[in-house]
Amino acid sequence: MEAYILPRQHILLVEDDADLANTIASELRDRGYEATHSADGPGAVATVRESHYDLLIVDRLLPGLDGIALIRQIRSESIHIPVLFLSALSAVDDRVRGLKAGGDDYLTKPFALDELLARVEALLRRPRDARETVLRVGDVAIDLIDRTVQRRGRPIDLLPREFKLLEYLMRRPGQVVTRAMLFEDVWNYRFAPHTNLVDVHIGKLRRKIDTQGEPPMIQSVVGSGFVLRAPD
Amino acid sequence: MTLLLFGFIYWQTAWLETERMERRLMNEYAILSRETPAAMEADINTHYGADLHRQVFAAVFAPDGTRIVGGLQSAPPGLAHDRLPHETESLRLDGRGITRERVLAVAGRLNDGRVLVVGRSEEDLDKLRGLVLRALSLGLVPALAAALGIGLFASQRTIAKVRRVNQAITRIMQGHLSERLPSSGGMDELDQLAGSVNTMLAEIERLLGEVKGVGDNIAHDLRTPLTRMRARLERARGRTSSPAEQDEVLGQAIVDLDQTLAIITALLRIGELEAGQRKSGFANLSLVGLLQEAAELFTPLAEQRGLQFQLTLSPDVDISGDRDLLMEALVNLLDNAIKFAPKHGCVGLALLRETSSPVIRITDSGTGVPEHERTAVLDRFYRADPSRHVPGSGLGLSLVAAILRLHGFSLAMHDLNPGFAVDIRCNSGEE
Repeated sequence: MEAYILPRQHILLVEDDADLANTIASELRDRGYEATHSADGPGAVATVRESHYDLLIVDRLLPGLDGIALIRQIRSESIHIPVLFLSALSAVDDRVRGLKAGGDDYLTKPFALDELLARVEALLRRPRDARETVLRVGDVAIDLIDRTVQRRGRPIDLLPREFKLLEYLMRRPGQVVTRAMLFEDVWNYRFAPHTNLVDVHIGKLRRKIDTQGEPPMIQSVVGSGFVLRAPD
Repeated sequence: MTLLLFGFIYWQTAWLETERMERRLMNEYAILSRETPAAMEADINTHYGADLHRQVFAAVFAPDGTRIVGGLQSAPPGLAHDRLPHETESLRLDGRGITRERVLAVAGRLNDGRVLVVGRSEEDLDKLRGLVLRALSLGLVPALAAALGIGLFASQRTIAKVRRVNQAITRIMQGHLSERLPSSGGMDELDQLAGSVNTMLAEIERLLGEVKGVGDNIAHDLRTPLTRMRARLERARGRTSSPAEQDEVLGQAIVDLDQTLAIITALLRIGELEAGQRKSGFANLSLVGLLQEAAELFTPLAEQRGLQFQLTLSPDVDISGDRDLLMEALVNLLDNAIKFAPKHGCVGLALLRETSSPVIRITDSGTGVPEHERTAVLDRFYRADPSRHVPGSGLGLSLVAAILRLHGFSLAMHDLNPGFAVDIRCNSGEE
């Protein structure tokens, strides 16, 4: 029987705050991941060398070996695991430094667990083939060259930003994306607006895509963000 | 210094007088030595013997040293016969007997072997020296005393002043921040220093007051959601409630916590911005581009609230700035404008090029901020009372102010009658 179970994705969590690490690890296990915890940098390097991991979640400030130094070390050994930085340092410069050192994403403490999970999922999923020129989810098709959108053959007129927003969601079907992810990746801003700006834009896009009687494509996920999936 | 000066005067007087006497003696010797022996002896008898003051004397001795004529018992022993003045001791003859005294004398052997001695008592010179010395002492002692007195007085005054300053500093260190260093109102160095320190103290007091105000506000604003949360959690624990109810309580607790975290995050960001360490993100930016982006971002929100959003542009201009930060500032200001605009009102974003510096103007058709509260709204945590129900960290405008300060831009608010405007003046070095 076991042969039919997909191998669970294995995440190494490098975090020196034991309480936080336990909470995150438990949450990851609840979501079906395998999670290992390492409390310090040098230990983590050894662990990564020994066995295969699908994702590293690394605290930026660690005893022994700083998070950035840890990632540099791992990258220099040609280990190409996706890395998500966690950091209490919120300054944009720190974020840039983290991403330059080889991090794939950067999450500032304090964060919502849902935000963390959404980012973990985003990093673990293989992005859709970037060479595709037409993306389809359900009966929605988006042509990346002509910049056109159709649903059941009905053309949908979108503003450039709405197109970018839909493209982002279409590349991640069935995957929860958070407001912060959208604000960072679709608008390229590195601050979190306090208002529901993103919701309003999603709302507008939704009204254009789902016309009367059509099953909704974009759903809200309470407490997290949005997900685009083909209606059942 | 005074002593040195007095010493110089004394030395100069004595030396000049001595030299004058030496020249005179050599002169007299020369005159006498040129006379014939008989004339010389007569001359000595008449002129030098008759000197009642016994100041100047002359004598002639035979080659064997016995006195021929003159007022000396014998040739002063050891006096060189070199026709140059020397100080020596001699035995003087006068009407009453022999006196031993210090003299200045010139001696020389004449052609016929006799020895001529011309001398002068140094008593005169000593008297003169004494006189000079006395005069000098009379001047010197009071001068010294006066200098000492004035010095003592001045230093006592300074010491007293420094003591008062020290006492003031001690009181300030004990926490009496309103205390100031004493100043006698004069313009000496100490008063100037006290003035500077007092200015600094006033600034420190103001800043501390501000920090305390902020601290109080932080405590208050953090306590409000935390108190709510605590009460809810306590109630939930005390009762056996359904999972749905528990879920509701936990959800509310997370909302409250998020609000406290938002306050802390905003404070940290303001701190970071005020430290001015964030210039790395600066680049040349098109203002029109920035405003168009902001308009695109906000138009749907304004429409959703039933507001009209109006973007007014002028010819484009580049500024040096951080796109993220400026957009964050615009987001905050536009957010406010939308919050405070009345129903069916309008919100505007405009680029004005009427003055040398471009101006970004954010308008809304609301009542705006009352004049007396305009500075206060930029302070941390201030919220005009009517808007207390509007959610937010209360730090939005402080954040805007910090961002604009980092850019060297200025912010102004004014009434448009009707409506309210916030102007960002983009002062740039290149303009």
